[in-house]
Amino acid sequence: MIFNFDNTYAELSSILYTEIIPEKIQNPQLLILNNELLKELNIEKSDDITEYLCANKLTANPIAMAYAGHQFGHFTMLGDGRAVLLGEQVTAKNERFDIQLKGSGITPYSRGGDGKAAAGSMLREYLYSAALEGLKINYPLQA
Amino acid sequence: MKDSNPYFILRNYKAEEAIEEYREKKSLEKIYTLLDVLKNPYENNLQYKYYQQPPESDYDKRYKTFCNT
Repeated sequence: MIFNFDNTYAELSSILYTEIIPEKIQNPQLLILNNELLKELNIEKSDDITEYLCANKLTANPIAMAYAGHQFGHFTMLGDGRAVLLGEQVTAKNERFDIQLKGSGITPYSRGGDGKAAAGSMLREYLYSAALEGLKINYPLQA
Repeated sequence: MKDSNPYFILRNYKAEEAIEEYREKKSLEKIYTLLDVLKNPYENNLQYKYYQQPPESDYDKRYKTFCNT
């Protein structure tokens, strides 16, 4: 088991989420892995970690979260449109971190598009996350 | 002072150069170098002086990104 999940979100009312099994990826390739972050989150670096990081292998039911808020001046129903929550990782220090896939395909909360994410764009997010981490500005990290 | 004034920031044109190299050659070499540059931005690493250079003067006027890309 590479993760140590305790999924409190899935204990909430079911109107707040939808269970999603992402489409399987054939021959997934790992481009980049943040080893320091894995250690910090106590995620085991198994030989088949790529399979877990693209949800070909699952340790819990992934969910797309529903939420709402003001966007562009209006109250809008939102939700994970191209992301799923794989689970809530509990670290050795008993801290909790959501492990989320981005670009895993459409969900009931998607609007347009195919729910996927291009590698170039994801590398850009990785770079800017790393920049903020280096500057010691708190920000959601990318694995 | 030293903890608040980085020697290195992620310059958009450097990020795009690295992403472009991945797109065209499937090479992550520039990405890894950039990650190394960004790791200790408060240390003046002379080896990476090139990464402190600003872009051509009109670069930022032309540069566009969108949220979540």
